Amino acid sequence: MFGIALTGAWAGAAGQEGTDGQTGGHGESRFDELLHEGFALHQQARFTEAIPILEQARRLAPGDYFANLLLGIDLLRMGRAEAALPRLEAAATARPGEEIPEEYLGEAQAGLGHNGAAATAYQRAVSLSKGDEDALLAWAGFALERFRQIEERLRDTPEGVAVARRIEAAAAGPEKAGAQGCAAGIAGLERRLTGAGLDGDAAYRLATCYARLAGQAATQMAANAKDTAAVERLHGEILMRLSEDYPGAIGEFQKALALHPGDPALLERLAEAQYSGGDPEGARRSAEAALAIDPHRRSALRTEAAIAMETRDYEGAIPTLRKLVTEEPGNRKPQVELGRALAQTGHDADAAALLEPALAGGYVDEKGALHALLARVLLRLNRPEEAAKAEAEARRLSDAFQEKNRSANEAPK
Amino acid sequence: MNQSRRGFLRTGAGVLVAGALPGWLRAAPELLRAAEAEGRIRMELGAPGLDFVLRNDAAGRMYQVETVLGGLGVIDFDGDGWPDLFCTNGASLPSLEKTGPGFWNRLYRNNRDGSFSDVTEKAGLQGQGYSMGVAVADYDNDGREDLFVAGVHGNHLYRNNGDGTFTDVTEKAGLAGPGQLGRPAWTVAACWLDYDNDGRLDLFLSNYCDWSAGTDPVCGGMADGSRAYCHPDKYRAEQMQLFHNNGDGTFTEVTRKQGLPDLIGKGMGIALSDFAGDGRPGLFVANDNARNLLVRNGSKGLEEAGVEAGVAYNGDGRNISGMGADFGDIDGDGLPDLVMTGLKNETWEVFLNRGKGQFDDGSVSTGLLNLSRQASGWSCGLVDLDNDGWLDLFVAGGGLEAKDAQPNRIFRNLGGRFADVSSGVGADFGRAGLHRGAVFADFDRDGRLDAAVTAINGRMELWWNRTETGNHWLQLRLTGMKSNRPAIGAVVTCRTGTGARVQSRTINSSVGYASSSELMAHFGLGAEKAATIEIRWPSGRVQRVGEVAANQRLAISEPVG
Repeated sequence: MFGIALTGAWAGAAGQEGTDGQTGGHGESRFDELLHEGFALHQQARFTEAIPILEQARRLAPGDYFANLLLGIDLLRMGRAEAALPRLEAAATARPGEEIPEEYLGEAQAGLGHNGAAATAYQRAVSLSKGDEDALLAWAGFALERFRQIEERLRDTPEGVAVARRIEAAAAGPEKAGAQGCAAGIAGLERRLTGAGLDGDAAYRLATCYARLAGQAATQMAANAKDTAAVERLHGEILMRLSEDYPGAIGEFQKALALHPGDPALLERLAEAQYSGGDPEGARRSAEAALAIDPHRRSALRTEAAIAMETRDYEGAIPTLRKLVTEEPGNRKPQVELGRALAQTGHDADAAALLEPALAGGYVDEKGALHALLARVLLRLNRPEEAAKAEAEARRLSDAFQEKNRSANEAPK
Repeated sequence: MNQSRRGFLRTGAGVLVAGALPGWLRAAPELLRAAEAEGRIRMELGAPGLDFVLRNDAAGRMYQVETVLGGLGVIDFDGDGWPDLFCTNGASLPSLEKTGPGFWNRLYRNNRDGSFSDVTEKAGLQGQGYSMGVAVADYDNDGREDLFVAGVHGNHLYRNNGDGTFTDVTEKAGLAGPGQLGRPAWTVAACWLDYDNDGRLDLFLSNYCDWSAGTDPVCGGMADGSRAYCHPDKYRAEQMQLFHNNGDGTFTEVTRKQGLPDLIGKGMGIALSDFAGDGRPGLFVANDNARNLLVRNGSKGLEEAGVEAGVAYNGDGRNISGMGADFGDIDGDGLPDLVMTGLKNETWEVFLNRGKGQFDDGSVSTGLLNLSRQASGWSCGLVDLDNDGWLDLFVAGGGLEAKDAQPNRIFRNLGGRFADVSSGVGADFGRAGLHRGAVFADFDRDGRLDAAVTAINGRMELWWNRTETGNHWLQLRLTGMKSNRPAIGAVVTCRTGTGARVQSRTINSSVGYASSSELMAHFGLGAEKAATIEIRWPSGRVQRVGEVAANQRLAISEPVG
């Protein structure tokens, strides 16, 4: 059908293309051209340019595995998880034995908050890959993040605090048998957690399950790893996300980097750990190194922007924030941060154009700080009535937040 | 699936590139300035007899109250003109009772020779409950300085009897109980001010949050030893309170009457100044992860205007853990600016007064943003430590827990831009602790402002100012006649160099975090040997003192008639 001989691995994968390719005649060469072009752009992380080209290719071959997969990944990289989902599903349908689309499906579902579906997809990827390190790493990363999210949510109620106590005790204990059984029940337990009230039993079972499965993945990787860097990366993830042990995480990421120097994914993780661990200069260097290799690494961009904003280097933050806004068009946070930076550098109209729709659209401003910032921008734009409204809203939000009686609902010491 | 097969989906490959311009290089001018500034300010530790240890009774349970105590006050309780010291202390937890002398509040008399004597028992000031802050002033205009002690679920007003003893008049004064809050308040700081200008000092309380030992939530890890202090967002904020002085020894709560029932926040330190320049001083209340409050005393009465003035949130529109605060003219434009400390990784705030009640973020332009990044600051004071006419910044440093003990810091004002000169101040100045309260007074009356600092579970520190510059100074202590006797709210303007340099101070005791400094105006005059003084009394009367010689401590009474 078509051959993209960039790597032997790709050629091997492309060799199976005949089963699901749907092109023919003149469209075939055009499809090949488009796919080549889209793939080249994808490899250069030029996702914005790759997407329309891959869309064209997919129109010529709607069921094609590669066109759907690449398009799905690139949409995902641009923060468009909802649009990516059908493309990745199509790729998974085209190649039901491949783990790669499942892994990205997991990422897309997690991004949309469909945690049960995400877990199922990640687990399928691990199973199909027969323990591939990347699949294990992705699955363990998801499990660790869910463990953290569930535990955090539990702190909001006295019942939750009691459950959190049990979870920590269980997670700290030896790994128990039956992890496989709990893995099978994750989707159902996730469904139980989506309700309004707290289902303490589901939270307990789910969190302990995720912790055990992450541990199991780490053990599996350590035993069979062809690439010890992947093991170190997972250790780093565990230290960073479960233990908040940033020096430990930095050490693991650095060891992994010694094996894979210049891996932008590792560099951006290192940057995150350095930033969280209070080393903004180290984080800046790592993020810059990651971005020099792959200018679209969003975590690295976020770290770089966060450092610039923290030092109130607004002029320095603006270009990074603009890139993030482009990379993640569906994500309001970089838009708001860009609005903040523009408000501080005399670009009031541009700032208002970002802040107003974000706030009108329900962007979280629980203490009123953003409304207060917007009020000052509007005043400078000679819009006093709207400024007064924003000031009043800032006060209302601040007071409403401060009046919340959270302590009355907490478990006592 | 092997590594190389998956590799096709990865984007890019390359080599590590050199980082951009390193941060230290960008900060080079500041480093140079700091080097130039060092060697000027010198502080020396130690005062025999001053043996106070601030006890919080922390035992791993991480009660919120354990982290935020430690206010102290300068009081000339015996009227000898030498500043004495009063220190608040914690109590047993969870009972909130002072179960032994280790938890007593303490009063120390200044022996005028560099030493102090503990006179607590004679004075009857051992106190009750878990104390937090102090406000010193002569509230009953009898010529003797009194004490208001803020605390957790119980405040106390102590009237100075003039014979070395005090009487707890809280009940009689109508200051006992929860007042309009309807529940016991946790008051961190208090400030005396005459908001209605009737010549009697009223009382403003900065309340923190709705808390009790029995409902304090568990935060951090669940296992022993892994607990953490809860984020303030875990607690419901409290309303601030205002009490009117009736002039007969009693007070009436007027929080609602004065339109302040909505003054909600997690109130910490209070600063007072005539920041609007209209003769009516207002208040700034630093808030812990909540909107800061600015109470303007305008022609229509009291109003909160923090959002409009630009001080409610930090420079880029976020909350920080606001702790201590102080007003003072940092950039030399004659207008009182504002500084607020916060915790590590937050950066402290400078709000520069632009006139007409508007402030701009000055954290970057003054250099404090980067200088404060790794430090946690509590009480603070804008004080001219080297008498060069520019207000330096002293900050009590310390994290929340023993593992995050930090030194105090001094930032020298180099004409509107700060340089951290802490490392060159003195041999002991780098000692780490959980410092909290800090006050400023000329304890040895040598014309240089000294600092006293408390530290949780550590001995308090008195830092004698030993700066040798040859600069001149002037100190003024005012007595109001028609105005309130301590003259709180009076604005003293000092002109030197044929009027070229203008400094002004609002008389106030509330400073930094939960603390109360000496009630006087101190001016550094640099090389000038004389200054022209003008006083605008709270009564509205303007008194032109004319030119006075430098290097003296003047007592000035409000003209009558």
